[in-house]
Amino acid sequence: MTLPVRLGDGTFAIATHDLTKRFGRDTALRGVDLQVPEGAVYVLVGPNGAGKTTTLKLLLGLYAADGGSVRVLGMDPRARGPEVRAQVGYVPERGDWGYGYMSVGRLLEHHAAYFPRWDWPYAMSLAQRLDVGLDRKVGKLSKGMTRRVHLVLAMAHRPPLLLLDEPTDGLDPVMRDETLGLLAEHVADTGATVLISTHLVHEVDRLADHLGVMRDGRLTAQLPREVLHQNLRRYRAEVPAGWTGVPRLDANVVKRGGVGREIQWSVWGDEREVARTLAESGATLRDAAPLTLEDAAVVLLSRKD
Amino acid sequence: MESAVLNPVPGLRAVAAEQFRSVGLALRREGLVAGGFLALGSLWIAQMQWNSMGHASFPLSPEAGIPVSVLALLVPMAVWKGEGPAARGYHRAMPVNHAAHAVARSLSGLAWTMMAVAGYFGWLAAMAALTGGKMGGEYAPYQWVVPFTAAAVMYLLGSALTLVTAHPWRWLGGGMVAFMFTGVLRTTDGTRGLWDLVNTVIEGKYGLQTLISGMSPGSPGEFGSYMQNAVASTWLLATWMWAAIAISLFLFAAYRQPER
Repeated sequence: MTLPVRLGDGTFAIATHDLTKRFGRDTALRGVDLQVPEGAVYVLVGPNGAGKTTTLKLLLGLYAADGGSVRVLGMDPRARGPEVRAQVGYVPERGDWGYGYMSVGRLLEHHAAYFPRWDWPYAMSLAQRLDVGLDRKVGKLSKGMTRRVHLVLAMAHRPPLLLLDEPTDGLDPVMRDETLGLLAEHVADTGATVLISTHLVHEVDRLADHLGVMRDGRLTAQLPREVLHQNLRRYRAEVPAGWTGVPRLDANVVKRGGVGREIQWSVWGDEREVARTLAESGATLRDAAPLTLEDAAVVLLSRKD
Repeated sequence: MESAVLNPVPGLRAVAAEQFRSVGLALRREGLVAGGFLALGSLWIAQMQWNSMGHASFPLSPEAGIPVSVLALLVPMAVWKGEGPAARGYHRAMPVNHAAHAVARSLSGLAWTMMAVAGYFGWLAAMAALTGGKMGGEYAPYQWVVPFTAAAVMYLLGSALTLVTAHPWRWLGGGMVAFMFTGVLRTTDGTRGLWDLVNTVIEGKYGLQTLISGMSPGSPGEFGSYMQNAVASTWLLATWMWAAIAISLFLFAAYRQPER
């Protein structure tokens, strides 16, 4: 079975082709073809070390690729880095950005100097909703508060593209909910494209409309949410004694499970086709249900190649 | 696709102005410490005056700039504190060319350093005036430029180090230990050549000592007679040479910042 790794033709805010990045002898990215449609909220999921953060840094022009191409809003970040970064609101994975000697309010002023379209009323509104204290020293902020400050910095110039690296990391449930609400409003107001890198898919479930799965530096799946919803389902079936499986389906089974005579398979493919194949093998189908985004991500990430 | 209406990038003047302000903020604590030392120095001079019934004078001389010039080597570490190569993400994520941005920040630090040197000499002049000390009449005019040029060159050397290494303190400390080690071993066969080389770099005719001291008569060192014969052209050549080295290293570091 081959999971979709290309979205086909369309207008992409981000498009990489055969993107490769090495750090010494380690290869962090191996031929990544990332396609983020304009206006999409794309969740890039993968375990730690999969290459998500490296991908984001290549998109910002912070790293130079060893192979392949990158286009962000039609521009090459290495050739036009400042212009690309002017269009991006970036929340980094790491909070240690320095500037610990500044107050949060002064950091906002500093940031505003770099973005001529900085919207102060919007920045203040974001700070208020995220409960960001402007008088506090940046160096003394907690991880969650640092994340909230970064979100204000990322959104207040109303960029057409948001690159968010683990944006909910360190946020308590209430603040996470507030943050997701703000992001949803931001997308609705500005039509911005959002690329969220995370390994906590359930936290951004309600925003996502595209999913990319990254593992070991490769993009192993990339698809719109509705395609995922239609094609990846969990089938629960009862099988007779001595049942030997369904060789015809083997290639499409993403994950196997079950207890005793009940099997629970996550299978990629047309639901009617899969159901018919299972029935022909002697299994009695109990139900077939779509997976939540998180379950789908877990299933796709744990898939054995 | 390329969006029709792109957000503009900031003007270099706006970036430079903001960097100047933010570096000033970054150096505030160090500035307060330096101010504290000057305040203590003022008190000490006042006490000397008191004890000597007003006969202790405090002269103004360019050699007083030597320690400040050496300290300028460390200023870049304060300018970039918390922003080593591994933690420079925020600075690099700004919509500015990375090298130009690093240069802007470093030059802002240089401007503050020059102001600090000027402030320091202003304080020295005030102390000399208040205590009736000599106002440096016997020095050649170029010697008053030495503290500024030396501080600038040392600052740029420190900046180059800070831009490319995550642990500039360790490199400086390691360099000092290596220097002392070479000195201790200089009598051993085979290391004399190395010591001579190090000695030439530091105390040679066009060495760091010439750059920093301006070869003024009062400068410390075992080459007293050699220094007595110093002329402006020697200092000028040493300064040009060291400035060229420092600027080259600094620009190389700014354009080749490591990816982390």
